[in-house]
Amino acid sequence: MNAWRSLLGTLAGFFPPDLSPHYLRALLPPVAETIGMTAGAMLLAYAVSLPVGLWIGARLPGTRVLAGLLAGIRAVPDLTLAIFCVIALGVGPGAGMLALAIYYAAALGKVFGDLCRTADPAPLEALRAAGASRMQVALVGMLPLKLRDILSYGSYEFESAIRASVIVGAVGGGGLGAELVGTLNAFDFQRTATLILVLVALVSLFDQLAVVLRREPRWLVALLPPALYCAWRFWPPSASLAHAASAFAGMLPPGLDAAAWRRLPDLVAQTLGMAVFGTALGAAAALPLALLSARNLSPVVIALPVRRLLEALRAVPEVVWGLVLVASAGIGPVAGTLALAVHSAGCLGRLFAESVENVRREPLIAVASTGASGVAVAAYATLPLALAPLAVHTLFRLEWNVRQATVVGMIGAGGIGQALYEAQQLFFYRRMMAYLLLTWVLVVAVDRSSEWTRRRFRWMALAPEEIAS
Amino acid sequence: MAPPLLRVHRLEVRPPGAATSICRDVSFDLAGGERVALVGPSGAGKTTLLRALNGSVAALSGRIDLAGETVNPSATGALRGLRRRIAVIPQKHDLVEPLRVYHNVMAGALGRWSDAHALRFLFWPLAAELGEAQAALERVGLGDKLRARAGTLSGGQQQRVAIARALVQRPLLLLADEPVASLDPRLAHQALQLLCRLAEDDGIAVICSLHQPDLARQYFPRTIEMEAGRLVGDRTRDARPQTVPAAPAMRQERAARLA
Ligand SMILES: Nc1ncnc2c1ncn2[C@@H]1O[C@H](COP(=O)(O)OP(=O)(O)O)[C@@H](O)[C@H]1O
Ligand SMILES: [Mg+2]
Repeated sequence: MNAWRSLLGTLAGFFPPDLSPHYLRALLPPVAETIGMTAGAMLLAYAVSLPVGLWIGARLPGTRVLAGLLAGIRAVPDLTLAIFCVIALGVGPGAGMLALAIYYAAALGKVFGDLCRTADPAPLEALRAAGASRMQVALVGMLPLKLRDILSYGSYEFESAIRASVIVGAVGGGGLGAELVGTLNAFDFQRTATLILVLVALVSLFDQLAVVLRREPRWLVALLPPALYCAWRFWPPSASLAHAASAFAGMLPPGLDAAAWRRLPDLVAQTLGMAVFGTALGAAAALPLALLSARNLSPVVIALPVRRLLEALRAVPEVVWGLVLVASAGIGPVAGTLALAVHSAGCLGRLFAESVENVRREPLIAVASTGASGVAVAAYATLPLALAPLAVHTLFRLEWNVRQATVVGMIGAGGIGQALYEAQQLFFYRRMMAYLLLTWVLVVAVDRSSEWTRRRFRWMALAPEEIAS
Repeated sequence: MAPPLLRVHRLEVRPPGAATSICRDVSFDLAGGERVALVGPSGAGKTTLLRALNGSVAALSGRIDLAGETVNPSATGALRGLRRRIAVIPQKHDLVEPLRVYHNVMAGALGRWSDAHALRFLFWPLAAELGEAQAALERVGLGDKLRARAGTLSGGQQQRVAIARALVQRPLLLLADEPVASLDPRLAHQALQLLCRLAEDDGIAVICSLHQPDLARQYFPRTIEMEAGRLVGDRTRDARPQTVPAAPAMRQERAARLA
């Protein structure tokens, strides 16, 4: 009871947000830094993932190794990657940009590879018949055939990238994230609220941009010069790149002492627990919100505000919810679980609503024509028909939340993430590497079991744009 | 003379999105338990007329009376009451495939069940309710499919489940929109035979739209013909009364429901 009161008390401290012109003007440089980091990182990610995707798509030698490497990088949570870069390159937007670039290069590389493999085989066959090598087939065949899809999918990741850039900022990557942590440490919660609002606005701006770019991917070319400038501006000096290599060597081999080994089961349980309960809570909250916001179930006057609410919940990343909740509910897995649940509710709410809107209409009409009430139609037709996609979305969210449970752990929610962060703070880099490895194993294990479950129940695969969110 | 079960008077229907009226000046009567085929070329407005009869589209003008009451689909409560008394068998497979057959069959009872009852049955069906589903399934020859997933049935079987659902609804009137269009000729005969026999047994009136005039003649005592939104023909096969008298018990029950 007291815990709740203190939580509500602290949350009340976030109002009203500080919207004074003075503070808003002071925010311009960190906002510019965040946008710049994101732009530079996406440019670098494209530059790497395009050739890598083509390479994998064309099944050139080494494809297996390359695909495995990408999968390995994708299993490392983004914040962990950022910590790594900050250690290696020093605090600043350069480390943040590189962390984002590595992360998105791996994510886009895989999708581009998959897209290239779906290219129409007939023209490729014609090229091969004309004596073209595999490399040439990829360059003059696959690339032109799939360029539009590739650019359009890439722009999908814009929204997610701007959110991630705030996250990496929070551990020393500069920009809005650094500012956010600063206000929390100073208990200046009204300014934290301002920053969250700014973040929501930025995410929705990038979302709009992505919508336009998806329709007209050619306009990406216009973004090329500013992105090039940003990449050049934030590129870390060569001296620090040299330092990075020796820093990395100092982290090997990974190792844990006896006490750390004994704590390990608890840490794993906390991280997995946050992921599982956060996903379950989020899904439980998402379902009613989705029903209220589905166009085919709910009147517009209700659906629209609920949609806005869902947007706001997911515009704020888990780690930011985590910072807020750790500050107000205290350190520990409860804050972490709630943080995952709130963001998951926003993401799943939208995906659930889409699944509900996309069910076949004929069975709904048939059940409604028996004189069934709205509740009965939802229970006997809409929900059973939407169940499989709902389950798939929830499993994908669980996979994602295992990564994010580590991330919120780093900011005080416990589990492996916290242990990792403490090891880094104390310069126990070999121990930190061990925790990193453990995170990686955990993520891969959960991904595998989720995949097995989906196969077992024959839950359909989703289109890549449905998964991206 | 008792009033007819259904009286359609100068009905004009213009569905939302249609530039002109799709049905114009449609008038006819239907007695309780009467079976009539609705024929006409594609685009004549048969589907639209049937949709107007169960309140899926509102009439622009004219009147529909069912069992002495004027149908007013704009009032939600009234619409549900109307739909409860009119069963629909659609053309295409429209079962909720992830659910079991008994869920789909008992969906016919949703109009008279409360929401709490409906939710309880979904997870915890009682023996009596399963018995009702089983009885309906036996009447359509699917006695062994009670617990099967609806998605595992063939097209013809799915349609028979839809018929069982209509029986469970205990309607006064059954509307079937080209129920045999997706079946091969042999299955089409079987399906119509079954539909007509069951309707006759339960004293349910039927309006069934059909593409094939020969099937209409064979299974329906009366045929209404539509063209370009208007009724252009109304033929009864012979002078004898077409309605088959319902069994006494059935008549009582129907009278109770009408009241
Ligand atoms: N909602 C609607 N909007 C526009 N046109 C419609 C609509 N409903 C029906 N129509 C048109 O009305 C005509 C009759 O349709 P329908 O009732 O389906 O005929 P039938 O079932 O006899 O083939 C068709 O030309 C169809 O395109
Ligand atoms: Mg039709």
